[in-house]
Amino acid sequence: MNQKYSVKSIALKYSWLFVVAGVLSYVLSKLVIKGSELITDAINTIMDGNAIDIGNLAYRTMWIIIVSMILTFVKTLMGESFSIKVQRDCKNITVESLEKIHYGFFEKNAGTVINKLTSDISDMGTLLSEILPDILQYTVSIITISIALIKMNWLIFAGIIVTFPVVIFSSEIIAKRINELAKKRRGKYDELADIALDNIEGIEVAKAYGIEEVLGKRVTLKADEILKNEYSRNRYQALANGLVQAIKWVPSIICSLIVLFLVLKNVITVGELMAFLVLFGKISSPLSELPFRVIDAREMMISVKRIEALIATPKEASSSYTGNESESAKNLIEMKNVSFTYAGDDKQSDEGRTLKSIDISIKKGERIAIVGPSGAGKSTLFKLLCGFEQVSGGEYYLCGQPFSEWDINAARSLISYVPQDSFLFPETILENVVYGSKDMDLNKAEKACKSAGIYQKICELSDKFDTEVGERGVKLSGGERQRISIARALYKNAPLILLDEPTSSLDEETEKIISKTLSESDERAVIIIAHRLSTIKNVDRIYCLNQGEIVEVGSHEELIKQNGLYAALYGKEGHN
Amino acid sequence: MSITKSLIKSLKMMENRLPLYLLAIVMMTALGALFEVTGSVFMKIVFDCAGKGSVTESKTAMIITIVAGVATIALSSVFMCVYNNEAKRMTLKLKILVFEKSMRFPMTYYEKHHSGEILSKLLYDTDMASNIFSARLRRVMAPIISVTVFAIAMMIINPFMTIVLIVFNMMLFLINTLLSKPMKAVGKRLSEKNMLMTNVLSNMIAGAAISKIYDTNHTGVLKYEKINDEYTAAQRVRMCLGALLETLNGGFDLLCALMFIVIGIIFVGQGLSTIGEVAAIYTLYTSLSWKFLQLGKNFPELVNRIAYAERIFDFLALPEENKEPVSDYAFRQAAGDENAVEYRNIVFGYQDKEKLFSNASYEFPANKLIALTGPSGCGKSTLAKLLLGFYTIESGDVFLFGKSVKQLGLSKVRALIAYVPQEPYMYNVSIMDNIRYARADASEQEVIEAAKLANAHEFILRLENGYDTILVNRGNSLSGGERQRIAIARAILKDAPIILMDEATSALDNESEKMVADAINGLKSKKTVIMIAHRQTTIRMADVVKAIT
Repeated sequence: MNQKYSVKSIALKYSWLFVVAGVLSYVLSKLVIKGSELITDAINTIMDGNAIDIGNLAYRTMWIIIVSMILTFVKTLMGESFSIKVQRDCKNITVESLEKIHYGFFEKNAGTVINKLTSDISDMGTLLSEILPDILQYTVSIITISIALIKMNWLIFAGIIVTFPVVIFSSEIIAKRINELAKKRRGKYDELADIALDNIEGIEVAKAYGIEEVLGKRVTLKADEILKNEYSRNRYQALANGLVQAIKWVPSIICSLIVLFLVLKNVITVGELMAFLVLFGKISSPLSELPFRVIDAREMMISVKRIEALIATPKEASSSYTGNESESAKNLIEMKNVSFTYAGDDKQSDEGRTLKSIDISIKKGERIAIVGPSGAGKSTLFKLLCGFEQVSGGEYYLCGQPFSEWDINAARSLISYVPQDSFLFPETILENVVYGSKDMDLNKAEKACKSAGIYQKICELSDKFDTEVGERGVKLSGGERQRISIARALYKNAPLILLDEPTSSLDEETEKIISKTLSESDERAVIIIAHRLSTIKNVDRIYCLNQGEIVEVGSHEELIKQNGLYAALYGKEGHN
Repeated sequence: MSITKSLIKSLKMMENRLPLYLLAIVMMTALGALFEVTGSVFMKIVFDCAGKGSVTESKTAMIITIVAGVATIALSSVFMCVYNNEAKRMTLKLKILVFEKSMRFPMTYYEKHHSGEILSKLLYDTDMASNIFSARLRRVMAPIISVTVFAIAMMIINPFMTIVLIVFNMMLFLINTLLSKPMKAVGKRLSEKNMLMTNVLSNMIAGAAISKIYDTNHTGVLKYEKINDEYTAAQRVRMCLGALLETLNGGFDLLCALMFIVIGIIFVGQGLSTIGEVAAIYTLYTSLSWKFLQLGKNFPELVNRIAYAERIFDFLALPEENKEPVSDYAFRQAAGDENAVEYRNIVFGYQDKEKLFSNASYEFPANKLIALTGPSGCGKSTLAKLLLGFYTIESGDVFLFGKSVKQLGLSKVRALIAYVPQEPYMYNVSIMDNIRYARADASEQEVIEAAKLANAHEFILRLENGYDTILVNRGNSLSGGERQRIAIARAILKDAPIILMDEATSALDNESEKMVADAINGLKSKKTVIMIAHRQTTIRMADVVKAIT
């Protein structure tokens, strides 16, 4: 996936479609000119007092119409195909890149990326399927029709070319002024909403003191202020509207007077005057629209640039080793003298983000707990285990193979992870439990949910496993979400479970499930970051972390006997 | 039909402004259309001059036309201003109605609905509904008015050619209407697929950690690419329909233009019309066909907005808190040793939960400091809220100075109590106003007196802007103890016979705690002070300790 992709290169791949559309636009403009010539001739004949051959005129007109209809159809298909194909490819590449982007990127940018990406993709769609074709067509018709007008008489063309920029420029200035006023107004509406929110949030005080009316007055006052502002804005807007409309009339008046002058001087014929009218109608809207389309295009290019930046964001390192079935390494996990520092510049959050000389080895089926004060580096250790971050020094072996030699997806298929804030996708419960697996095995999912102690609750829901969770769906308590998250980990059936216990208080049921997961003896190894030391009394080994270093290792009893950091933490929790 | 009814109901909200508003719509649109008519009249004059080979007779006509054009556009702008003013007036009126309504519900409503949630839904709904006044109605009316104006103008210039053109346009309109249904269906499919794709993306981003660990089979990417293919297929269908529509529109347009000119030429040849008339109708025709296609197009949008208006109507019709007394009841403060508050045989429980009080009775003597104690969840705060009438008791009664709360009515009950909640709310106004909300007519001096009694005066003066300090974000620049003391000042200023205070559970610093205690001590014997007590020091201070069980 090292191939360099950019939106531009994809567009180039399909550029022939765009070129064909451009050529067809040109031919279409030519046909309009052809038609106007027919009219010129016919009118000239009549004005000279001769009869015209109606049949012949109608026949030729029909042909122009039929040909241009066919061409329009083909042109539209070509242009649209171009935009559809480019859009499809760009989207696919975006999502493929997104999957492989380094985890730290999401940690830093999660909120903004979602908001921007969605609107960027839709902007790109608009650019490709509306703005670009418009620009193409406008440019082509402006050029071809301008040439025809120059041929008729250069003075007419000069009239158009001088008046239009003046008109567009002056109406732009007026519009800009109005926009500045509008900006101020937006702020005022926000203030109104803030007052309303203030009133609702303080409703308890409002009711107790009987001051709903007084507070309501704040809304009315602000609304009056806004209204006054709106009135003055409306006056400006009406003035601008009148001016812009009147100014836009100027080119057509000036140009027709020029043409009239030329007719009277016998430089051009009445027939050509009619042709001018037809061609002027075809060129005036492209002339006034084109600058705005170009501005739009430039704005949307920003979105395209952002998408390209996303595609170019560094990917996770991944190698080729995919493991073998008869994996018989002694240690599932082994870390030797591992150290870690965050690359990059955010020094302010250095605390708890560095690790020093970490030695850990975990065998199949072992239960391990990691404890320590907040900021000791527990979560950072998990990130290294998951491959979200790479070790800066020392070695990390997974199943006896250096982690850096693993294919990242193969390595992760060996790990189940239950994050601290259990994340549920806004989908059904079943989809959440089986997330990422190729096929949905309802039986297996039910079993996992039973082990996670959430099956009963799911059965009570009206749609059972098909219940949607999240904003639109059913509201689950923190503990229930946690247990679904555990069910997901159990469903995956990986040889290693990483469990980041939530810091906030657990409900009894969830605490029971976590203890059970830790005490059940099977092939799976479990590593838990524990905040409640009561849950981990029976684990095989406890690593006690402080300031990025392992300060104590041993079973609960051993560590209590040592009377060090662990014993102190245990005492603080109110045990004796 | 209910949609028409709702539209009429919405419009009726404009009251006596409605005729002016409608007149403004008609005038601004009609005048705007007339402006285009003057443009085509100008063309007619130009062509007639060209045909005759001289301008001398038409100079005045040209100038008159231009002046008339400028006049119509100026007048149209004036009406546009009127229209916008009325539309905005209505928008704000709607907002005020909704915001005022949003404060009149019983307390239970606010506990069920999160304040941010209430507001964002309200803002969205009112914005959508007020769109009827500021755009949607006009957009439905405008094409009808414009087409009428153009048709009349064209009829005056040359009726026969106009009829031919209108027939052409009808056919075009028909084609567009026929194709609009499948177009809409595809559009819907596209937006559905688009939403699904966005979901996959946001799942991948928001759940990055989970995706990376669990989705080692790339199911997310595969799903996205599959939907993308479906999306592309739908886009292809739309492309074909679009191309067909564009071809027919464009072709028809060309056909009309050329056929019209051919017919025009024949007419001119036979002396049935002048070349100027052909030119004038040709320019008008472009505007007419454009407006013709707009007919009915904006109607669905209007209907959509009316649905929001209906939601606003529903909201405005929700039951409000009834604060009126049952009977006209003159309140006299009872003398001496009477109970300030008495709960008699009350029964109350939160919805579908166990009863908190079943047949409970409490008596609180007047002008004493009473501490309510009990384990958390025993109903101390609920007892306070029942007194304030935030909840309705199921049976039994509460008496204030011997008078039944039910008969007093909520307004009078609340006037007798100055309440200091556990986490007192600070409004986004100055400290002065925050305290003064207790009594709107209080002088600055009275506010300061109250602040002094509440031990708040000192720290307020130490703030940079003193009493004029604006409290933002619920006053979180102040400490919990400071907020508490401002709330006590507010309660003191109210000068109600009963002060009801829910002591903060969260720790106040020692200094603040002492200050608050002193303030309360100062109130003893002048007022009946009921404290929901969490601290031993408070309980020790009390004249009477009531354990709630």
